[in-house]
Amino acid sequence: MKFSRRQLAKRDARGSMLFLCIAVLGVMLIIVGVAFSFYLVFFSHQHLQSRSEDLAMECARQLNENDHGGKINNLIGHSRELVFTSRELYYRTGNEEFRGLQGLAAQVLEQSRSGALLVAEDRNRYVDFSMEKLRKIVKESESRNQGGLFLTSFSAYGGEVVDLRVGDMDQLVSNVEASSGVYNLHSYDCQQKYVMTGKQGDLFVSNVNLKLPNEDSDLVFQLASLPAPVKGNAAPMRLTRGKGFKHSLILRDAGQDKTGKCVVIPSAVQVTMTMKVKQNVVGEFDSKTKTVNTACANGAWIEP
Amino acid sequence: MRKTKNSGPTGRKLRSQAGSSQITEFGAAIFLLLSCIVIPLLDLSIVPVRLGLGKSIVSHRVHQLAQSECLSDAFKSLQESDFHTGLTRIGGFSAKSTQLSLVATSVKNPDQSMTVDRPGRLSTDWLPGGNKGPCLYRLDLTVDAEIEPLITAKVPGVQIPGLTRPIPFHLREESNWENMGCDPLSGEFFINK
Repeated sequence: MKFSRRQLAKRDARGSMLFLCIAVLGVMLIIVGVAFSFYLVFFSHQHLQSRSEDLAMECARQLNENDHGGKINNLIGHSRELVFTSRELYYRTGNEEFRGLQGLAAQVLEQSRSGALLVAEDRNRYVDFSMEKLRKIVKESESRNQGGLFLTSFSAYGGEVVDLRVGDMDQLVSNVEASSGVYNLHSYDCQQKYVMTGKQGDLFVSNVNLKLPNEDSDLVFQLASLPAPVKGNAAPMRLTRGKGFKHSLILRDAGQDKTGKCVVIPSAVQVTMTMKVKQNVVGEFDSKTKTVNTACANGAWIEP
Repeated sequence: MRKTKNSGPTGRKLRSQAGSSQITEFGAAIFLLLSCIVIPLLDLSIVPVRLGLGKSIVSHRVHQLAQSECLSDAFKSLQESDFHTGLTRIGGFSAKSTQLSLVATSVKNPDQSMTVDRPGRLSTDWLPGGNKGPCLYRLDLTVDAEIEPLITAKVPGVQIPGLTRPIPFHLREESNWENMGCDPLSGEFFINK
């Protein structure tokens, strides 16, 4: 088949126009691709943020589930009071008048001291159990969310918990009310600044060893900083900005599980998560998005 | 075979005569396409990008503020933080005014709501456990901003948003207030403290 010269010239011109059209289209596609990639990076960050918040709340719920922490705090407060009154009782039996009861008073004192040690031991066991549960929650969350996000040439995967810390929110008071019934103890506590006076009543300070005087100073009475109930309402658990968060134990650092012990029941948790973002719409692009979330456990309930 | 035909002096001549006129016409069309469609589109296409970035920053900020310990903390943080700087860093985004407020909406009667723009202004009725309760408490951050397109043609006396002047936008983002507890010492609700 033969083409005229005119037809051949037309074909050449059309060919160049086609090339230019493809070039313009290509440029526009690249712009759309870049915009889409940016949007997906934002989207993946939001996705990670919401997952991280969920995990932080789930961990915070575990810290004071069914008010176990609040109850243990009250137990510590009561056992401290018991040791103090038992010691006073023992001192009183030192008189001629009550000397016959000294053996009984010594037994009561011994029992109250061993009771205080038992409470401390159980508190430590509860803290260890809670920490184990937190580790389990984190592992379950990671395995649940391994799938990631995949969209043609974009993928966001991982959702790894790189840091997990427990501690408290620099709150000064605990949920334990200082009883004014035992006058000597109350005045000693006020003198030692173990008590903070408020409109709703006096509350013991948290994260401080509330040492008893003299022979019982060897016992450790340390309360967790759980908010006390006000007007019958317990403080609900919540997300916080993390301002003032003080960690007492690192459960995971830079992706590595850590071992350690906590002296008091933690009342806040901080979760740091990262997610890998990869796209190849326009060249290869690898990035990491990171979120940090802090959540506070619910406050203590009213003591029955 | 085509190469053989066009490679000769006659072929080259034909191609340059016919092809150049086509390219000239196409060049004009390209020029019109670029100047009237592509460039204005690119010029304006930056606006939704900047708007999206701004909206994302405002949304993130209000979410952070809603997690403050108490309401006065949220107001203080907004004043002290480099929120405006963060918005300015987007480029072509200037925040004219910012307003933070707390909105309490009655769950029983969603038409009823109370807005406060400073701490301690929520009346007892609107506090948790009050007569209007239960209520939903949302922190509301409003930003009046102007977003510039890529190129703004400054023509004195002509005020066309997006062409000769930036486009005004009203951004409003909200987040649920987190700390619903009370200060155990003062007994005050953190939401009103």
